[in-house]
Amino acid sequence: MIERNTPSRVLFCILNYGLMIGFGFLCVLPFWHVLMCSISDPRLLMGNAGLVLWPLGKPTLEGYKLVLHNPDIWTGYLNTFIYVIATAVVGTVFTALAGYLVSRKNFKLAKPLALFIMFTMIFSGGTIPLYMVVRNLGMLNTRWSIIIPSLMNAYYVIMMKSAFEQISPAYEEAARIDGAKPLTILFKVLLPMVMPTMVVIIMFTVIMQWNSWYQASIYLPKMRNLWPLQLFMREVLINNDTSRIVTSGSEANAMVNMTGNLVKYCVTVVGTAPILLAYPFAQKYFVKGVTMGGVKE
Amino acid sequence: MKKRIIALLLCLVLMASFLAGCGGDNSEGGTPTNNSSSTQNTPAGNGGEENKTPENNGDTPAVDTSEPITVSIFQQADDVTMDEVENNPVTLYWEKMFNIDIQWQFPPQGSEQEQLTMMLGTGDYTEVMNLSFSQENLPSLYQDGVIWELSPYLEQYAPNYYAYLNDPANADVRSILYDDDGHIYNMATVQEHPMAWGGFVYRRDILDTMTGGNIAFPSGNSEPTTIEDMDYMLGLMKQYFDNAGMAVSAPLIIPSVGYVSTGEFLNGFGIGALEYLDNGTVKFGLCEDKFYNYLVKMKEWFDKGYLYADFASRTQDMFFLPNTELTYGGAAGCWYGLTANLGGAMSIPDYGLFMDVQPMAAPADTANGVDTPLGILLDSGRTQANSGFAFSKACSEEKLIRLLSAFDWFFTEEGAITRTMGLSAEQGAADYKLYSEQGMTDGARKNGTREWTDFVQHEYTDDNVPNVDRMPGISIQMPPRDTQLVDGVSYEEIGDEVWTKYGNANTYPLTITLSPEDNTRATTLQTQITDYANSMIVKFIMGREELTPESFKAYQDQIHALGVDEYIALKQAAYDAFITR
Repeated sequence: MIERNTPSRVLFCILNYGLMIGFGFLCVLPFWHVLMCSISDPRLLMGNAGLVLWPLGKPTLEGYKLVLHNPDIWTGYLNTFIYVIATAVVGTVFTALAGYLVSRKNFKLAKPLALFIMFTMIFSGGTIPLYMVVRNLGMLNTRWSIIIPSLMNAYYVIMMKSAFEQISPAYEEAARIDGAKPLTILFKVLLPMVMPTMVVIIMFTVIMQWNSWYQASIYLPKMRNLWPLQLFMREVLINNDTSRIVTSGSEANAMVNMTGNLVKYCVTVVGTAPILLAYPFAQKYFVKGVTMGGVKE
Repeated sequence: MKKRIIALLLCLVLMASFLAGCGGDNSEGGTPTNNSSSTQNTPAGNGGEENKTPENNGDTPAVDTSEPITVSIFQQADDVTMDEVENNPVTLYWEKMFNIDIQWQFPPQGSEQEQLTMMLGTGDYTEVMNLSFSQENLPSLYQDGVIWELSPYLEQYAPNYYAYLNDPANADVRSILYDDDGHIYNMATVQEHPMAWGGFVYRRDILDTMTGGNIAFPSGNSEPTTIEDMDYMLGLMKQYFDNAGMAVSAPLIIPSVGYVSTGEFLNGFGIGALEYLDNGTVKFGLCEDKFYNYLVKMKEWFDKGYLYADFASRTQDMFFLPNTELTYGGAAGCWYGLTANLGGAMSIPDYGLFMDVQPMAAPADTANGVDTPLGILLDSGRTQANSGFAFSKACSEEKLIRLLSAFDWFFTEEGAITRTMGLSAEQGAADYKLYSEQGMTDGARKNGTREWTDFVQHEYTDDNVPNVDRMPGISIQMPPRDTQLVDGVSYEEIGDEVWTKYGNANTYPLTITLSPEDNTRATTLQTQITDYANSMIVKFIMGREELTPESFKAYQDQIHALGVDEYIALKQAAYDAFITR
């Protein structure tokens, strides 16, 4: 059908595009503000109110220099990449296996197992029991304390379960008639069919692990060289928080760390840029992946 | 079949991980309980008969340091890198001197309390713990068997610390560190002379501009000292900002609650904010009759446009760093500022902004008969109840004695200077990486003195010279370095002199601690009182509630109904116990 450019259609398009562009602008604006602040003159930034659309004063990379010259940042990047890759790859395989199992109708333990998994979504032991589990398994102050507890996520297992349940049993039957074993059926027949859900789970896992700092702060008290990027970033942010003056209140020379104010913005850019750049590549799978698990035959 | 095997394996893994938390060595998970009973047998425990208190023969026994020991220390993270901590020349020098190897455990900044809770919850203590950041009650930790009580050991194994605490000149420190039972639980960090780091400041340059340099305060003084002076000053500032056509400006910024909760500025009206002292009697400023005078003046200034119109909405601002857009943007005249604001430090010559910020003492409300403000200031005290290091029961008695003896060095004159200012050339400064990297091969200070080396005095530009400020010991008053001067002037000293002009005799010591039960009750009362008072104060100042003697009386009655008398009684009892220690 050929659409005619009637006045109402033109008006609709203008409003529609205008609204979308405006909305997109609003989404981008906070990031732009942070980016511009990160290259602004720190003294002018201190006295500025409102949005910063262009660098204040002469643009400076002083903040980035301070952040990137910090060896902890590079250590953090390396560790974060290790944790992200390990949990995304191994965790997704584990999730797929668990999701496949609890979605099988001819498997008697499927329901109890699914309930068991769901139970952990609702009730958790709390931080100290979890810490004691990690400690007693000998994982404290090792990379395993970050990787292993992150491998399974009950919510993702349920997502995978729903995705598998949507696939017609005929596919599995046909594969079995052709002589395929369960693992072949899973990896060669069914998984390609739930690829959007897999990608969503991978992306969620990556984002969650990228932003994670709490586990490391608890499980790696003596191993600073194993800390992820976000924990170092958090330290930098706290270090440059003006409220720290309170903690050093007994010191007469209470300074206002203006460069620190700049560093906060630089750290935000350095910490979020990689994940922001990766996000659009997985975008196309998102809507499909999240919604496909919710439709039943 | 494979599905079942996989399912079985998954179940086993889940079960194993659940059970893992149930086991464990008794010496780890059960430590607090076990230690609780062992506490009774310790020299400081209640079982005094089994006391192993070293004999007090008046001599200081030599502590054998020939065997090296390793000690784990939980230390609050500082604003220094790990490299600076592990290679800190003073620490390394001290470790070598006492044959001690420290294994630091630095929690991530901002996670100190969580890590501490985890240690206390699981019994995984380090041998030494810096608890200065926490609100933990040391007597309770001792009763739970977590830490040692030190009084039986100090005289013999930490004689310098002991002598310092028993010096009448340090009675304030003693009152803070000892509890009502005469117990002490930590080797503290003590400030020799804590300097005021903040107080009210005003833009002198505005007054100069508006009067052509002929500032004529009604009091006849050269700086504002009375409320009438403030009237004069704020009027000039208002004119200045109006003439400049600034969209938003503020001759005076006050905190969002309408007053400075530490009591500064209010002391000019003859009262404090919350609890304060009047000849040893605790009073509550927000319900005193003189508070009415304060409210009347603030309302008057608000109506005249002298007060920052949006002050009540700035709930996120810290009182010592109010709306930086206004203060640093050159649109504020008077506010609670910091040492770092003083002089021309806030000017931006490249953009034509010149600011001369000067400290001011509390202005006296002479019109209402207050000739001299009360002695109230933000005084954190020379030490805090939790400052320095406490020693956990993971530390053996033998090791405790070694450590007390070693930390005691920081209470000697030489040790105190070293911990605060760093090493001298004679102490081998050149051997340490952090000094040699920064060109301090002659050390940070001249040997045996409180003087910086020429290099540090004139050329060293970093904010801090590597020292061990978080260690126990005396933090001495350091001479200012060139980089700490503004136009050759030490505003740190000038600010301290002005802001402490009226002393602190009326300040209720922040370091007074109440028993856990009393503290809970007092906190509850204070919350409900201040919740009501703060909302009413803002309404009175902004004119949303009529301010008359009758409405103020109703306000006072309500505060009494909310339990201010009980609150004052709790604070009075705590103060009385404090001064008798």
